[in-house]
Amino acid sequence: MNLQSIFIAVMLALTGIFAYLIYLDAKVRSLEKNE
Amino acid sequence: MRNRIIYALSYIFLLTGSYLSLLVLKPEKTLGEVYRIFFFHFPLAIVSYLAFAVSLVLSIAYLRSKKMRFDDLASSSIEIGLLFCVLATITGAIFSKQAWGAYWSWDPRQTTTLIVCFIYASYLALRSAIEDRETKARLSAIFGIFAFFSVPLSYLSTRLWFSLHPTMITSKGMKLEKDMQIALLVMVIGMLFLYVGLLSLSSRIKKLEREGKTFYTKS
Repeated sequence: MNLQSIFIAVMLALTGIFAYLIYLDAKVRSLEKNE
Repeated sequence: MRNRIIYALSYIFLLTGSYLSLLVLKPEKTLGEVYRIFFFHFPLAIVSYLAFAVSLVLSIAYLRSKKMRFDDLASSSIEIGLLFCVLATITGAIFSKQAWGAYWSWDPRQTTTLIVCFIYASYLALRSAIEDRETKARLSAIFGIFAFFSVPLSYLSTRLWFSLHPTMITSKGMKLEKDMQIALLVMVIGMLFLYVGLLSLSSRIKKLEREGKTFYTKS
């Protein structure tokens, strides 16, 4: 496996992690608004 | 909005740091390409130590004020710190395979870091074993204060005992070339933003759960 493939894998993993964080953040926000 | 800015900054810094460490830096003379994992290993380890230090301050703050907000933040900080500590141990073991010839060699740094992981895992076990919210918060705070003593022990282990693990930060600065220091700094900043973002999110979820709202629903 070359370094470019590893970088693409890291980039995809980071994108996935941050997309999930933004989803969780939106879910928390909607629950906070329903107080 | 503020949280999303933190996520965005973390994403940009971690992506830039990964690009610099994986594609821009030249291979190291003795270790070759595998040294690049160091740019993930070091920030994870440093931020996990920071997370445990923050939990110490928040545990003391809880015992002084009895505000549940501090308990939420302290336990969240430990959860994130433990996650980072485990990831640092795994990346360290991969690095060690190439540098020392074995994934695990009971080096003082490896052993003391494993002890830190076990101590903070037992913190989480303690929390899950207590039903009453006030008792849980009080005992966790006391445990969190004593658990922190393992962190400086792990940090100083390479100085206290004979260790193969290099001491990166000395009184004369960092033992790294300038371009490596820049890549490392970018990764550390990215990891710090990630820690702050996760801490804020986790404590908000805990606050909601304290108010009786179910965040994680069974499907």
